[in-house]
Amino acid sequence: MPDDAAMQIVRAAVDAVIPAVDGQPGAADLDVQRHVVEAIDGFLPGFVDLLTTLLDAYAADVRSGASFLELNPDERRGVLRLMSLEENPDMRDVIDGLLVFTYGGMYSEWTGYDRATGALTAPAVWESIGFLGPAKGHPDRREDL
Amino acid sequence: MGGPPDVIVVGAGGGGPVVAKELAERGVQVLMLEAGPWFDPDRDFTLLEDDMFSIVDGRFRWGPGDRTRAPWIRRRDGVGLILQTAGVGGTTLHYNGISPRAYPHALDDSPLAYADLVPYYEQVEDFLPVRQVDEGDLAPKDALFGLGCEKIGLSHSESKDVTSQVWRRAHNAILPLARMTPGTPLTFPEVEGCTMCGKRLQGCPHPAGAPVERKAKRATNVSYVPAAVATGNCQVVPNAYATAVLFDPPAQGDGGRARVRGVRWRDTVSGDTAEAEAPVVVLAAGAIESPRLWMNSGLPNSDDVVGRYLTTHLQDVVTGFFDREVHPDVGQVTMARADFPGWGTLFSQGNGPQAVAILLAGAGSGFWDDPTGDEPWDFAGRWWGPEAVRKLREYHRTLSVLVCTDDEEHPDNRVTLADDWGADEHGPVPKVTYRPTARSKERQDWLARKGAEILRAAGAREIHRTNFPRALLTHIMGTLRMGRDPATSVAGPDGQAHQVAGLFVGDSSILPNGLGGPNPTLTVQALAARTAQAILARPPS
Repeated sequence: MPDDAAMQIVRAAVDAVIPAVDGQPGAADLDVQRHVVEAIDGFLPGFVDLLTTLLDAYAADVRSGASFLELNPDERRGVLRLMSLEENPDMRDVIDGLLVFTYGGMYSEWTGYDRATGALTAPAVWESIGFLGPAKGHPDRREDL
Repeated sequence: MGGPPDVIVVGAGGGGPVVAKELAERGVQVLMLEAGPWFDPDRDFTLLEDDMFSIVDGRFRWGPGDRTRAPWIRRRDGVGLILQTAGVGGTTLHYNGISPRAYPHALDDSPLAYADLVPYYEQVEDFLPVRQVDEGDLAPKDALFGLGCEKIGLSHSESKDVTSQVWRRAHNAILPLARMTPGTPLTFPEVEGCTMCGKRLQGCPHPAGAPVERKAKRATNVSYVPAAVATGNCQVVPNAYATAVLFDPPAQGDGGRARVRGVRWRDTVSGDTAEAEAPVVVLAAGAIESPRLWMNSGLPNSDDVVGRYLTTHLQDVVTGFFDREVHPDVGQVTMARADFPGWGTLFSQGNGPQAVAILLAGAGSGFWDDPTGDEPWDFAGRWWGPEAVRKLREYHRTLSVLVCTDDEEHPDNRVTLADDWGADEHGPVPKVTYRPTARSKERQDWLARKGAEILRAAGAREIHRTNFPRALLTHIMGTLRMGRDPATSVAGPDGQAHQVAGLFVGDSSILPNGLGGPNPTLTVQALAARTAQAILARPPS
């Protein structure tokens, strides 16, 4: 696992992707950065360090001399935009990893599921998007053309 | 199994179990090896997107059954995500069950005529079974898709043989919809058939409590595998990762061909290695692992064809936003499709929240605020921040359409070994290289525009195109392809390798091309049934 300083950077990036909106907790409030770090480390070993390094490097392009943590949320989103324009495969993997695992951690069951016990507390975001939840079936929902 | 194997099948995915069952039913002793675990749908399938389908530690990942261990990695060049599953059932564990035939015209230049394949299509369709979704059984998302198709002038077809532009209620390897009344428990035997749960990426355990023969989605773990095992002539060994095909070099009387003699594998739990000998080996590990195994075994490849001509259907997604409930989480994942021979195919694609969020905001090329010019979609690519969060709240009003392109086969699109990476516990790892040709990209763009036209006609107020920057690999085909000329193909029309006697191909790597765009599994299975017949017809060794 990365050190505290690196985790803070990833947390800030995750918060930039999915902030708290209209009273609904953001991804960082729900610890999704832990999911991102675990997933990137599992799928792309060594790339968490690359992610935090690049976030700081591109921060200086958005505001001269600033680190990623020193940027405001809109500036941080500007960093993600710059990173998304890179063609290098490793760069693509880094930004793809951040985005895919942040959205995945937030919109899947991850924030509310304990794999060890099988206990599920439906994430609040499911209700906000109108997801009916995992179900054995939907008997009443056919529709004619 | 009553004795040493006559045939070893490497891989229990879409094609391997078909070969195994057809042989075992006729008294052939079959040993089928599978790299992943053997799941119990009722016990193991939780319907949850991360738990089941995380590419890192989901049950259906490409990796060992022990989820505390790292996934198996491939090197990727021009490729984004590769979605394959290790486990008995293979990638049919997560597939939609969609089972169309190839477009007939796509086989015009192949060594096998479409008409010759039809009896094998019928055989597989009858066994699984494959059925067209009944009129009146469409989920709301699919009814909307069908409405859009009708409004742009496509007529509906019930035919399995497509030669013109039509839309169809899907032919799926899914049992008919259960007749469900409110209050009836959604468990077997109170209900039989498909319960419209909307979860296929996460596996189909429904109806809960049903025996495997009555599970709704007819993945091979609940269809061909149990049928093969029930003969008493087929042994399935899970957690068995094949590391080498054993063979003898060319000898007199073999026409200059090497001759296969067995398989070596590694137990992914214990790490122990084992070997078995047999005069026939069937490669059915998928279009990445089969050529990898070929190369790691040192099997003959004098024309350097092995691994080449990879096709992927150059997939993409267009999503419509409606002012009515659509519910992408309800129904069989795909109950309606549109066919465009010469271009490819489109079909409605139900998804859970994780998948929709990634497709709309996490995975595309470009950004939501990029101008779209004359294109028929309103925004494309990826986004983040408050606007993305608010947009994703419209999940329940979205309909996504998957684009499957008739992508051209090109020799430089290929699977090789990643020589500059370290080997994993099974040998040098694969490198997967894919870049679309200009014509493939033109076809993909045409299909995306057609998908937007359908969505708009159905009433979409806004349309998004994902526009993947790198290929998404779910349909992976052609890397040990069938042909008559050994200089440009690996296996003959009977499925046997040109250069290795007794070695057959029983998975999607044998496909001569992308079949015109339709989902490949049924064709893989039909070819596997045909290859089984060829194996039976061989002279005794």
